Amino acid sequence: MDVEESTINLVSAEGDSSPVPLSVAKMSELVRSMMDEEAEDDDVKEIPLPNVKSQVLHKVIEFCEHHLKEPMTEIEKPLKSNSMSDVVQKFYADFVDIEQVLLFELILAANYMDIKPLLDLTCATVASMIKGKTPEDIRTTFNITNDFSPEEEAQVREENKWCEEA
Amino acid sequence: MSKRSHDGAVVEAATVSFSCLTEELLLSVAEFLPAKDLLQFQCVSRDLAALETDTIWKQRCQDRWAPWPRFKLASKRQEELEREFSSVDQKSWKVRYGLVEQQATCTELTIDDLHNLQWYLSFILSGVRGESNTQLMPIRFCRNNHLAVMGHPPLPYRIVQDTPPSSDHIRSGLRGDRPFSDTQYVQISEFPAHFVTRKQSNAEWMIVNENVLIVSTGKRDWA
Repeated sequence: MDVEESTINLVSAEGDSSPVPLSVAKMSELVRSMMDEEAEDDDVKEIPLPNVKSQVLHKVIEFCEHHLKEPMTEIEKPLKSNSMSDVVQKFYADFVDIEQVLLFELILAANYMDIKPLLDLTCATVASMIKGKTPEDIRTTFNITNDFSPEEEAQVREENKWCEEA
Repeated sequence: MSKRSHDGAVVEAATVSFSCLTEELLLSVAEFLPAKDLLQFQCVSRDLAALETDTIWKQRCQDRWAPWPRFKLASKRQEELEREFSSVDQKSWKVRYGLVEQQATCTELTIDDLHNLQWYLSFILSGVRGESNTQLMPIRFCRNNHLAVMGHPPLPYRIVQDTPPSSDHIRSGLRGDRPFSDTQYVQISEFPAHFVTRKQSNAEWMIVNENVLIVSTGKRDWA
């Protein structure tokens, strides 16, 4: 491993360039496919990611770098716990112990860059914030408006009555 | 994304939030939710109620029913489900989950259960070396209110909807994983009352007194 691995620059929405080892960058299927397309031209040195802000891109790179060293445990569906530390290794649980805005930015970035384990981790984290909550608690947590009419809401409640009895 | 503020200048859109998730991403979140939470989640808003979650619900049905021999989603059971829940509003796996949940967790034994399920009986033998059970033998609760046990004359039976006598003398090995019903018991001929319980682990029934153990093992195959 003495030979230095070649790097590629990932360019954020703001135009900041981050040099990243190829193996790390290729965790993104988007990056991988962009590189494959230009395979004949060995000198692809920059991949523009106009949908990803610098702050988010740094988080993404941190995730990919760590994942190569310690791959994330596959997250069981459905979740067995609403604490991420019961579900994945400490690094990953700490990684998503972040503000909601950044968490949703990471979901969008993971989806755009097509990084499955990161998408799993972030979506599972949102699910862990839903698990055990009432619809009203969920609305409060994520600032969602209740747009049901009273009749619709009564109907939904009726359909789901068995759940409260179980 | 950007939008115009009141004075007409273009400003950055509000911060990224839950509402930015596409339907595909909402489904990726929903996949991690256990049935109860998925149900709550879909009660939050119109958009979430309209999510196409039926594939996830089928998976939840499979998981939930796996330990229950009678409800387990094998190909035979699949056909049975289509027959049993054949109306349009019973097609979705979400609805079926709820319906089966009611059937499988109901702790009130009915005469139909006695008629339609396959039942086995074993005698409990007490001796100086402690208790042992005979082999399980198939029995049948006939519609003429007689219980057919091989080698015995038909025995009249009925479900009594009343508080049973004390069941303290029934040893723990015959108790299943839920308490006995305190609202009904089964009377067979003049034998001491048979206590009723439904096991959580496999959704099957146990009907027990100091002499016999009767268990259900799913739907009867033979007519």
